[in-house]
Amino acid sequence: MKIWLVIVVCVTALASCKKENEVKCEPAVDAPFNLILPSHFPPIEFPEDNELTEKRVELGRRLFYDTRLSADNTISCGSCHHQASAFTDNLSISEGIEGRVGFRNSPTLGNVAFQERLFGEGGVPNLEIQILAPIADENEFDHDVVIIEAELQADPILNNLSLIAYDRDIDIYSITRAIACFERTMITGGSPYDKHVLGEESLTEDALAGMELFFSEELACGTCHSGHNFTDGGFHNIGLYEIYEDAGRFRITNDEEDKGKFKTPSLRNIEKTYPYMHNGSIQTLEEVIDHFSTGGLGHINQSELVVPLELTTLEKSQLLAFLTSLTDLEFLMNPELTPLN
Amino acid sequence: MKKNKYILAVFSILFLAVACDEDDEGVDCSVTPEPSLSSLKLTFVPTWNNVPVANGAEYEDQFGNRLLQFNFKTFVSNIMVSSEGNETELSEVEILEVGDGAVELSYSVANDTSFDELKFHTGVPPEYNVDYDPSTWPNSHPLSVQGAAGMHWGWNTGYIFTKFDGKADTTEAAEPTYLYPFAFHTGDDAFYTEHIFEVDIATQTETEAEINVIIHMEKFLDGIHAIDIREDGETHTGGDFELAQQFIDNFNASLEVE
Repeated sequence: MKIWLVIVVCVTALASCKKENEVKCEPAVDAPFNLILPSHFPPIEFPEDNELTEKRVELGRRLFYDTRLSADNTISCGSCHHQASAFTDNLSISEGIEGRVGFRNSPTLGNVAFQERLFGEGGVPNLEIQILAPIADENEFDHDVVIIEAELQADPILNNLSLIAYDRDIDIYSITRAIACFERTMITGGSPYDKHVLGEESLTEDALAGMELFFSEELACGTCHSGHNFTDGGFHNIGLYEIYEDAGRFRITNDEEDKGKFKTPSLRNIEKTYPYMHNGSIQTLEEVIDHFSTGGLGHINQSELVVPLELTTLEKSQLLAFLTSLTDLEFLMNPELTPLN
Repeated sequence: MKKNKYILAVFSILFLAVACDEDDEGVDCSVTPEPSLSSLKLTFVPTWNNVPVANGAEYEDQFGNRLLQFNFKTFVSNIMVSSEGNETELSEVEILEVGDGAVELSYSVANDTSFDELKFHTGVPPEYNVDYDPSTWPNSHPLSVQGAAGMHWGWNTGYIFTKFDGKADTTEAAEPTYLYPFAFHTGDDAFYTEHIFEVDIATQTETEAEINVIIHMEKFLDGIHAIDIREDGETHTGGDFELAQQFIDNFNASLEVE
């Protein structure tokens, strides 16, 4: 009998002979995330080390709305990217902690998975790296990675999710990757326009007329606002100013011809993403249409496509009707994109 | 007999316990003699007109601007010493934060060896710069998000190679106010620059060999190009590449091995 007691004690001791971090979580499995794309959308190219999984998306969703990423625990990604506003904040320039004013207008995150370069000048190659910018920016989160990691590692829900999703304690690597995964699930392709394209619903007469104008050779809006996401991914100067305070693409290339050029924004949910332009200087869609109708202010790098159009009041209202047909209410209310408690 | 059972059981368990190592690979018990190593100290010494800089001191440039609070950080990469053409890599990349005196780096190198050349690059190696994700490095690494805090562009891809910023008084007033900000943030693959210096050091057991690299900081503004911070006090490379290039030219010319 005693020998068995000895063996039991020793085996128990042996069982404890493990590295500490090997016993931090229960074994759990992850599974591929079933991202449903509209049938008229192209496939998404995911980074090799960051394919979508359920746990990665869940972790990213929690982190996206987690104010612990900011120095004073008041700001999260979701603070400047509200779902109801197509993940913008409807401010001309976004605000960071302590009301610090940032640099640009908050861009929509709808269909961000399809964007090849991030930010208005296109300096950042992917979402994983982009997420580092607001964390470090003194006018946004202004936070220290070591503090963030320590705080989040003490959160058993987040840390266990990271262990399952990325096989590591939560750190800046898993934080950036998980948020990128969540952002890639922000797919918007269920607007009246999309339903019209798929033959499911017809647009109103005004919207149809506006669509015809939009894609016409004369207006050529669809040249830059092209494809399923209404952007060519390129950089253009639309003659917003004669002298640009923000040099845009020039900041990356140092090429004089790139002064005042900014990445073509997607027009999806454009009705909800006001104010417009890189600096939120135009408040309404009507004013945006007026800008293009008058032909810009004639900057030396202004796109040759931006010319006076002299649109009639009717044409303007038809264009407006088409642009508002790009609003995807299912996306704006998608329960899979809301904060998790 | 019963006692033997106890002994057998305990020894069996102890044997298992000994085998409970970090991995399952066999243990190599062969002993390879350690090469004889010596210590080499590489010190970067910031000076202003040949006086070591110190935090809180005021420094005047050639235009009479008085600089008080300044920070200087730079990446130094592929640091090597050579002995008759045989190179020894000391470090792949280091970040130097100057402003409060010299930065000392210590390395182990071969003992009883004469080194005749020190070579390094200023900046980040191109393979780790553009489009490279800093979060893939461990926090202890100079290129990690933490290690390179404030030295990654954020809005742009890649790293800030050198950062010289602070506040100055440009008024010539009797009581300086140091309210004028200046910032030279430079980073671009084009600025990745190799520096080669002749040295004459020999390593010996129990003696630390030393190489001092002097950074003549006054040359940042008064070197190949004269830069007046009142006229040209800010560059983030993008948007003012010309000034960034001038600063880099001056910085490269400011380095000297003592």
